[in-house]
Amino acid sequence: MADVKLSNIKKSYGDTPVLHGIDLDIKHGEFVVLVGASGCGKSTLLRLIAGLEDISSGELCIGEQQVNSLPPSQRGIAMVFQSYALYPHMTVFKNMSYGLKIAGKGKDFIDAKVRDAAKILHIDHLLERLPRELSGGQRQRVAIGRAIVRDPNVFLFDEPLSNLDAALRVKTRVEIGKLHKELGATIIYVTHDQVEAMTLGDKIVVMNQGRVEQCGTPLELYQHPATRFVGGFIGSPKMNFIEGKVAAISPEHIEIQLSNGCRSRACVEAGDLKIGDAVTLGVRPEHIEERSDAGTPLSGEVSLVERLGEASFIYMTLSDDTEMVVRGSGESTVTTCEHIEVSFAPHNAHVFDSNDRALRRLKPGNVHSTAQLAELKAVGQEAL
Amino acid sequence: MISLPGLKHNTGKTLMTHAVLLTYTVIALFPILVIIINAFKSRKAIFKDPLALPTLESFSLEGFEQVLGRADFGLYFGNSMIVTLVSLFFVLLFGAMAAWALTEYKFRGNLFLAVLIAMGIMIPIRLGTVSILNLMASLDLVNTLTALVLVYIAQGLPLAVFILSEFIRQVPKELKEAARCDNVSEYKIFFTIILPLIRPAMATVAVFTMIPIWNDLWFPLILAPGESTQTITLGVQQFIGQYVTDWNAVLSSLTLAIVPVLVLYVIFSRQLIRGLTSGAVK
Repeated sequence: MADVKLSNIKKSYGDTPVLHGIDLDIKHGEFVVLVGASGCGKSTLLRLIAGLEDISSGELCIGEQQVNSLPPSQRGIAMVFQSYALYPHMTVFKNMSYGLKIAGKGKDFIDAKVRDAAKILHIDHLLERLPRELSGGQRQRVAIGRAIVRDPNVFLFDEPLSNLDAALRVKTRVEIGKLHKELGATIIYVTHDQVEAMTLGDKIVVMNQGRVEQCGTPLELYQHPATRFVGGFIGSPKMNFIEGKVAAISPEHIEIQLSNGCRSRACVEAGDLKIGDAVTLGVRPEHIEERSDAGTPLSGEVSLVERLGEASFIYMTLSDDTEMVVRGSGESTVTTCEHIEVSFAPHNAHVFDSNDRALRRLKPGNVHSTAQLAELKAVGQEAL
Repeated sequence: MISLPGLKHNTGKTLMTHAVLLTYTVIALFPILVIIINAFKSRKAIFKDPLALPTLESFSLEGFEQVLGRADFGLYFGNSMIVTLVSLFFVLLFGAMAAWALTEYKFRGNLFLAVLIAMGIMIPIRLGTVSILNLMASLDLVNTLTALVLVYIAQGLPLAVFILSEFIRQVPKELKEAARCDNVSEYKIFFTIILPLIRPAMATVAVFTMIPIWNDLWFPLILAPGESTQTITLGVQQFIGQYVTDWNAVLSSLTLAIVPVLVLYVIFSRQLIRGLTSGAVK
């Protein structure tokens, strides 16, 4: 059992602080994904956990032990690097067995261990090859294999898929997910790719500028982003943001006067908001519909249409020059320069106050079609 | 047909480059060629036409017979080999270790040491000949091969550290970090991971270090002129007299002296393969 506990971890290079007090609890067997834009400190945090860099202040515990000053090898961790970091002059077998050999393990033990790991990763036929004779995906497996044979308490992955091509990335992602189930180990995984984060993580930690913005399950983050940054970061294409002012407050919803002149309802708790306060309305592209009667209507000119087959991303500009993206249907006939009307339902709106904090949503739901919405309303009326 | 002015320009450039390089090669190889062809000629033929190739009449091995006939000539060869190889070994070992320490670890005096070593490249060691002789005399090392080895290590180290530092810096840091996660000790990291990766650089340094040592006349003449410690370059001098020079013997011994360096060079140059690190990281 190895829980990982970070309390108020800080890191600075000289006078430049990069991590401003990170608190994190990771349970044994959890798959935690650290995600954020580049330069947010996620890789640094991983390196601190690995022991490759010194912690400036705060406490790091793995299992019951405080490991702040222990070298990497005594922390019970194994790291998989973005660049694989295979020893180029050693065969795959030697690469995977080197750590065990250094640890003074017996030859038979090493052999069995390496072959087991190789089997799990389907690289048992490559053991005598050199890294330069392997493809990118195979090298990545060897790097993971090298971590597995050491039986670590915690696996650390530093953007392991970013050097792979798109198809291989999806495949390896699925395999890492399976591997986690098989090994039942604690995994801390750094990525800048929110799809990887959403699909792999039991828990996602969104980081921004050396701070934890939000920590939660993938769906929590998607449905209840705590800040505007998280709202924009999770989901693809990005959440649309429209500036506005609070126009009216009621217990079920608030009304917002948008910058393009429209008035919109949003099903959120008003909290401390007063009428006239500046807020930002956030709507995901997939929650906007290509029709004017789903809720708040918005109209604008189409600047670009990306057709993906199953959907079309319609980029439009509102009358006040706000850029928006709408996820339309794959059969959408909209063309560039056309003037279109779209709308979204109030319960799909997110509202962020002037400090970019989200207001609590009252009816979080991911209702896609108006038919579903009607159904939901009917159920609601029956309940009444 | 599309005209390709760029290609034409490139051809001209390539020709120029090759012309310059060929000229240089000819100039550099010419004296060596003259030595070798004359080593196989009779004394008369050498003076008659130094540039002619040996013919059936002029062919003679009298120089080689004379050189190989002397028992001490093998000794000179042995001395040169010992001095060169031992110095080379230590220059490479200490040079790589120092380069690793200076690039990998932050410690007090790191920069000072680096600057000191860089200065060693710029200041010729021969300026210190008198002090070195004094030092060797006090240490009772005059007329020993140890004296030569020590001086050559000092002479070779600065450039070795300088070149190897550059190469060690290029070894991806993830490799060292991966090794540290594997609980590999710092010495093991150096000997089993860093050294194999900088082999091409080591070969370069070996060639650069070896040739001046093998060819040196200055320090053998000053520090080890004794009969039993002479090196080959010093040994050749005995054929050059004030009044008579035995050109056959001089040229033959020089020809023989080229062989070992050439062999070492061939060995090292096979290591000068690029892309040894390919496959380590993407």
